[in-house]
Amino acid sequence: MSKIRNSTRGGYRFKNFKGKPAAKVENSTVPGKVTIPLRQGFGTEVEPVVTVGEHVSSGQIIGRNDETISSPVHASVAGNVTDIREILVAGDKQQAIIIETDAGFRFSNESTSLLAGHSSDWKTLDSERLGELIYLSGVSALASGGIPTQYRSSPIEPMEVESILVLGLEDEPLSPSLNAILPASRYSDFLDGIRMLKRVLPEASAHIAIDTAHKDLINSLSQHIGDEDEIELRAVKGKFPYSWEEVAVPMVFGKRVPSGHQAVNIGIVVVSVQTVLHVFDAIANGIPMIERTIAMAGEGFAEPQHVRVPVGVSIGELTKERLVGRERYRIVRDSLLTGHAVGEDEEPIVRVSRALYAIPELTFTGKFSFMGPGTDSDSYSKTFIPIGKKKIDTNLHGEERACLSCSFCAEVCPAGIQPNILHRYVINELFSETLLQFKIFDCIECNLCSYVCPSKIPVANLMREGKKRMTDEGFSSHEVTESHQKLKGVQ
Amino acid sequence: MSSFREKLHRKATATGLLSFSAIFEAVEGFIYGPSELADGAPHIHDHLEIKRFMSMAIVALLPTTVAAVVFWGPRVLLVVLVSYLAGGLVEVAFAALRKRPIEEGFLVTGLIFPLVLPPTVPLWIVAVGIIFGVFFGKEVFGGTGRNIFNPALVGRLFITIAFPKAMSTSWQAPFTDAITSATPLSLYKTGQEITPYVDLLFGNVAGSMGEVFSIGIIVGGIFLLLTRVGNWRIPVFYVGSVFVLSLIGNIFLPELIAPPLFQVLAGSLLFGAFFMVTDPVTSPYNNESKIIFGVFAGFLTIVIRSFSGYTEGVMFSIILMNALAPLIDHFVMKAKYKPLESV
Repeated sequence: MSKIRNSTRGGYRFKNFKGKPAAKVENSTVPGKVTIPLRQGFGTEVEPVVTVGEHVSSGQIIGRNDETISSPVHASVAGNVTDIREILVAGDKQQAIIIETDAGFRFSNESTSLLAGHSSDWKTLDSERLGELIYLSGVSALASGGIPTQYRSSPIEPMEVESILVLGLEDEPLSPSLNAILPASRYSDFLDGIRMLKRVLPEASAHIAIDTAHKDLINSLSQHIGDEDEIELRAVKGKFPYSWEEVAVPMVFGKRVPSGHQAVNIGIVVVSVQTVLHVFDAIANGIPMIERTIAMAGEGFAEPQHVRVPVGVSIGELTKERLVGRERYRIVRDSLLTGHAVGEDEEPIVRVSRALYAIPELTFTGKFSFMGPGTDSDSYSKTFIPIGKKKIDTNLHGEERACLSCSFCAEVCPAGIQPNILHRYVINELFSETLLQFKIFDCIECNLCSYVCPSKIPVANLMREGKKRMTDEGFSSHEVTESHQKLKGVQ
Repeated sequence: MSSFREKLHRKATATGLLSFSAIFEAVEGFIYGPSELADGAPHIHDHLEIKRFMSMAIVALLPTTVAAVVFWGPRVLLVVLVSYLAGGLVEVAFAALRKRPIEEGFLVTGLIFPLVLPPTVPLWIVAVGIIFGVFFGKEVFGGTGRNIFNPALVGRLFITIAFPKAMSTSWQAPFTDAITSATPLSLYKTGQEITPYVDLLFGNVAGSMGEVFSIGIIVGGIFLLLTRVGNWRIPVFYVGSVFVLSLIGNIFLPELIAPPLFQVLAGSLLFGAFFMVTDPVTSPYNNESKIIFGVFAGFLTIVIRSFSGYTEGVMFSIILMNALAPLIDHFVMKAKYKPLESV
């Protein structure tokens, strides 16, 4: 066997920041109201199957469409449907069902509708039933291309899946802690979850990639994995954006995800550690996707930690007791590199939410700040001496200047392209075959180039703009290769 | 924002004098630090900015600058001052004209330039050189980031050709007043004389102000590479190729080609390798091109030093390679990215 790779080109390790979430999980209180978007995670928007005024129980399916590629959505609390209207989630308009709580959330109430047919003795269930539970629970929407089942939860069929890749990386600056998501008490549930997925996807090999920073976790898991399991476990460096399938799949399997396509199109289902636990909970305990453990991290929170929250709770309600002060902080969903800033506090948590970050809107960095030793400064370069925890804020930490071609962006680019060259073509509006040849469409929009740029040029925005303009000019993002014919789930 | 700063800001914008507001903005940014926030994702940014980027180069130049002051006295500081003032004038004028901020890159150019001059250089030549260098080496190309040639080198080359007597015959060894025309490289050229390596290391030889103290240059240069402000590829391959080529050449043509260690320590090779070819703007983009650039520059340096009328070839070879950098990149990109298959 070839040498196991734990790293790949590009990427950047964010480490040692202030405001990292403590490795503990708190239960949130029952919200007065939840907003359940009809599209959460992978798939198209589903149809509401309840009407305004109807009473729903927590865990009940309230949106479903078996005709389109989608997975059902559920009421996370018991209560009355008061409205079905268009809302904004992370910059995306979509229909949502509003429920006013009357009974309670699962934490405090026994009346949650559990999925029919679940069993803690799951090995006795047939694989049809397992697939059904994964679909009906909504868990199938958690993978970027869906988890294939006998329903239309993914563009590909279960038999077409060649590999399952479970990623447990802390590659963001204030990533959710693996120790919080996967405590020791859940190791066997986690591995059972993978065994369940292997039953549903019978042709698939299973692979787990865990952050090299979690040696203990890797050791413990390897003791729990039996020889008959055929689960490969490996350590992978927690560089950003190695948890992205566009980067992780080539690193682990040596196969690239063709630009413009997803990992499922080459038969690989990529899931997170938390998703695997949701698979277990759905099948063994009958729990649908009504709750999610998210990190609430950053200096804006009085106590950065993890919170188990009902899907649909508004960010305003969730954060109001925990924030040090709303005004001075920017709240960002899921990723400080690529996430959306929360504009309206009404925006709900969805079932694929991972984190909320509250970081200072810092307009004053200190006099002569560029000359200091930088004991709390983060930089790709080695021009600071960060001896303590590093601070994290929204300041640009510089003024926009001309590109010097320092090549930092090309060095960190996980797609192996050269933003330092490509962005000039975009600025000068040179949209031609050359840009296609220089692989502008390989850009995965991880924004790392903008992060490292000492000239503070919005490189990533220019790359996005370039791709858009190229598409407008008739250049295709879809790779024209022989393997294109073999892609799965593509018409 | 403090009220004093606000008042100043109003005053500066109210005068309508472009050059004044450009200077004001530069000073404001210098003192108060950046205040702009990320607009959308990414919401966070690296703390390195161009001011610090350039400051690192200046820090790296400090050992050799201090040595120059020790060797040739406080007049060195005067030369540096003239360089900053005269070159700064051009920089500010263009910033005002273009309504663009003053680029911090000049802070490095303004210091590198005096360091490559002989200690006896007349002050007016310093001014002429830096003005020419910044104007024709940088601004006519469109300013920082667009220049093809290293501005300090353009200035140096101009005054070398325009004022040959002042620039290439009036050298002075440290702590002496005697004017000599003999630098280690010319001593080898005329009589295959090898200056003792200890003198070359500690700078006890005639030469340009910032180029003789090899130890200081190496220390500063390594610092620059370790901070990632300078990419290691060109310096390593440049010095490496000079070393290897002179190692081979010295065996066959010892009367023309000096031995490798001497080639590395004498003249401006180390200074050029650490502080000139590391200028990201005028060196190629691709890692592969950087290696080619370094090897070719080394080859040219040896050729000019050994087979031409000039004793020193570093400056010419770097400026020639500056001109070739886009071409090297062109071919490397062509090789790296295969043409698209026709459908």
